[in-house]
Amino acid sequence: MKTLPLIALFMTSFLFAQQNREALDYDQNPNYQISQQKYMKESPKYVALQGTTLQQTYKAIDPLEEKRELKALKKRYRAERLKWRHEERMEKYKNGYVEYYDVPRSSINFGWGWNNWNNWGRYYSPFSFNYGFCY
Amino acid sequence: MKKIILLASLSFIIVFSLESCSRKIQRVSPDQTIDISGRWNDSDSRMVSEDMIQQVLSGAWLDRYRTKFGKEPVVIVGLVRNKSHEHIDAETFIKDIEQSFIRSGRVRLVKGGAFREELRAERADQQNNASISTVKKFGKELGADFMLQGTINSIVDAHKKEKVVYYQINLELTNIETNETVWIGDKKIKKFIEN
Repeated sequence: MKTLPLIALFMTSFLFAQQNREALDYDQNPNYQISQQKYMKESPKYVALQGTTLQQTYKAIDPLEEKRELKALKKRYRAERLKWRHEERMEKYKNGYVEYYDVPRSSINFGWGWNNWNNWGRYYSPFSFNYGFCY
Repeated sequence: MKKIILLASLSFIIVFSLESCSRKIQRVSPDQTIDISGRWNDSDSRMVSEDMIQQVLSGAWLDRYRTKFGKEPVVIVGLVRNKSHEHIDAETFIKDIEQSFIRSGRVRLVKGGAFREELRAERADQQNNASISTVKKFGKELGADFMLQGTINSIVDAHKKEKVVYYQINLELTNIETNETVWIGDKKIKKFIEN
């Protein structure tokens, strides 16, 4: 009577093992679940790319093309130089930059504060408005 | 004198405005080959699709599968890797191949990627919003037997004003369960460009 639970346990484990064996296809690797679990987690990132073209392009050695690219780059830089200079100047003045000597930073120039016999050392502020009293 | 100046300036403006409108546009047949820059263009894509369709539908894999299983194979389009020196979108010729599969009736096609996600999202939406008799069920998708994958490669040889560009496009069909490649199609295009 005491051996009955043992026999039942043995039978259950045998049946379980048998069932597991039956789940395998012919010639299927019994360790397939290790790989299955790994790829079940990773599949979304691969599946999302289906039907698309992955661009893994390289830069070919082509002197003529390089020349063209360089020319286009120079053209672009030339076009943007004016803007860059302006931005540079703005940044300078924002940080309190004054050419040659310090002058009061008034936004309105009434013509005093410096001599006007030449442009040297003239304080220029992009925020100021010159009323024409002083050039 | 004033009139003459006015007339001259008016004619000048008219001539120059007409000159600026001299752009000509005409519709041409999509089959017509027009090479402008020497780069990858629609003609190359068309050549690839024509060749690949012929190769894939006449391949031994198709008959072998039908003899073995007695049904049409189900194909899903995977990733195409462009490893050339130019930006090339494979969708232009892949779509032609997909179309040929459906038209021939010998290969069945299932959606993958973003399109499939959209379909699943719609199915999910139906679960709450569609009438009971029209709700589409989950878990009834058709599983693909083969995956179509591909690569685009190129070789460039340039010297002074001359250039030779070689493209090689490979498409492969692989059995999803066994990883066995059952078909490889290729198309080689070589161009000689003089600048």
